[in-house]
Amino acid sequence: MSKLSQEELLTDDGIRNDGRRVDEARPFEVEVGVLTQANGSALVRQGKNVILAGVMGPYEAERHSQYLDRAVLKVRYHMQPYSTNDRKSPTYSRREMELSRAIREALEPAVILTDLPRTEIDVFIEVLQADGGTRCASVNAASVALADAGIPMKDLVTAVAIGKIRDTLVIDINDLEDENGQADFPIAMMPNKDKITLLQMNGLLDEAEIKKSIDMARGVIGSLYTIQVNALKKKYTPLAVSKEG
Amino acid sequence: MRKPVFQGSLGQDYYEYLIEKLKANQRVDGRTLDSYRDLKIDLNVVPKAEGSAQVQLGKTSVLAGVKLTAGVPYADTPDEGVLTVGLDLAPFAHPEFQPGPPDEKAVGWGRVVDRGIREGKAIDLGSLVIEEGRKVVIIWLDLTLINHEGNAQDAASIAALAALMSARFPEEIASALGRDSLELLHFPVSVTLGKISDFMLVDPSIEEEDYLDSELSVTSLEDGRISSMQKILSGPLNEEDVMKAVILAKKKGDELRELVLKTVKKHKSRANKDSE
Repeated sequence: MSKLSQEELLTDDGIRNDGRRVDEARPFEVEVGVLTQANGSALVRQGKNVILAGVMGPYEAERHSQYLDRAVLKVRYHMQPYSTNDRKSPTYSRREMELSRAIREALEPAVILTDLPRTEIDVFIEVLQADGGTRCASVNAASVALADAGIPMKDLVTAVAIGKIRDTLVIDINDLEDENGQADFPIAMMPNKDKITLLQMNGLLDEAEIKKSIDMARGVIGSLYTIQVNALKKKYTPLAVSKEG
Repeated sequence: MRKPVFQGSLGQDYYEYLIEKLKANQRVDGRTLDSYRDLKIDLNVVPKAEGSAQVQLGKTSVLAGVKLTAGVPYADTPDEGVLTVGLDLAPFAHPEFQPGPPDEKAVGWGRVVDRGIREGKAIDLGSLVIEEGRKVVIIWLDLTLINHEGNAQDAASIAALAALMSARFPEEIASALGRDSLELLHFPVSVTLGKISDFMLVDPSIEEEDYLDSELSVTSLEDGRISSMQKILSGPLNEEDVMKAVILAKKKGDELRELVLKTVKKHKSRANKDSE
């Protein structure tokens, strides 16, 4: 990974290394129902991230892991060896385990688990290309895949990472900004409930910056959410049957 | 376990229907016994990899990524580059697949791809030496089965070939070797045949796979030689079956290879145009 100075990451004119302004998110695309064997699936492109999420289930959980009053949600985040600049070992790492948990806990509040007692729902996430903010892109893909699988939900979950470069807060950081910036602050929300379901922070921020980051995230999340909903609507548009015949 | 999948899970009636169709040289999905499903190849789908390809064979989907790095050769082959092939079954590709290290199935498919390339001498490993005994090119070929609707073997083989052919060395390796790509010597393509009762069919679908007595994958080269064969499942084959399979595999292999070569050529000329 190349070392970049703060000035290279953000020019005096407020332009970032990939040409974006500080408050500009990366291009975000969602495709729903891309797999045939999964019950629900979504492909998300967020900047150069390419993330595929597939939901298997709900199916009857094994006896020892089932709950009588609710479903078990399992999440596995995994990166393909060719997804990164340096080849990643295909073995499941501690980092992947940590992210799997963070993503699961980000999704859980939105899923109405009590509607599906004794069952298990598996969310499998494969990172096909990584470009910073993969956990946020994964949350965005996984929540759409859950909805596609018909799992009862209170809301979608939408995420974005805020960063800090040259003492300025920036939206939706890429790989280089994550690596060389002053902070990485991924946030996931249930947009309609205005609840935060994932929050991690690496770096240094003061109280005001934290408040401002959350406000910035809320704004972007609103527009990403619209794209998620439109992708779902595109797949589930009802047949246009005219009443008059 | 999730949905348990048994051999012949669609039942006896389906088997009889299948046999009836086969007798009329037909398949349940409308194909003849010797026809493949639609094949679609997309190149450079993962630009971060030095080479990549997504193959869709019907609804079966395999992604191949090639990373090219400089590294230390094996002690017993100091004057050769290293080829490493891995195949991962994405857990969402099929209800039967479990997350974790590759199982018997994944290793089997990966090995057939590996042997087809290695034994076919598709890549001149001797030409990948930067500094003898110290520094050679390491080829990491990683395959991901993304959606399993049957015949993952051939989809993986085609994806591997397309990704290797379109791969570009990173700057450092390109300048050390004086060329920018792997420059394959041969083009191995696997053709998988399934046997149900007395019928041999190519490119089995996932429904057909459930009823196969045996399966034979034959990897052929452009010059008609065979670089690897693998029989799986417990049904026996007789000599005529094998010879019939080899002849069919060569014919079908040529058709598939032609499409791969054409796709890569088109991609390269477009890439050259873009860089001008």
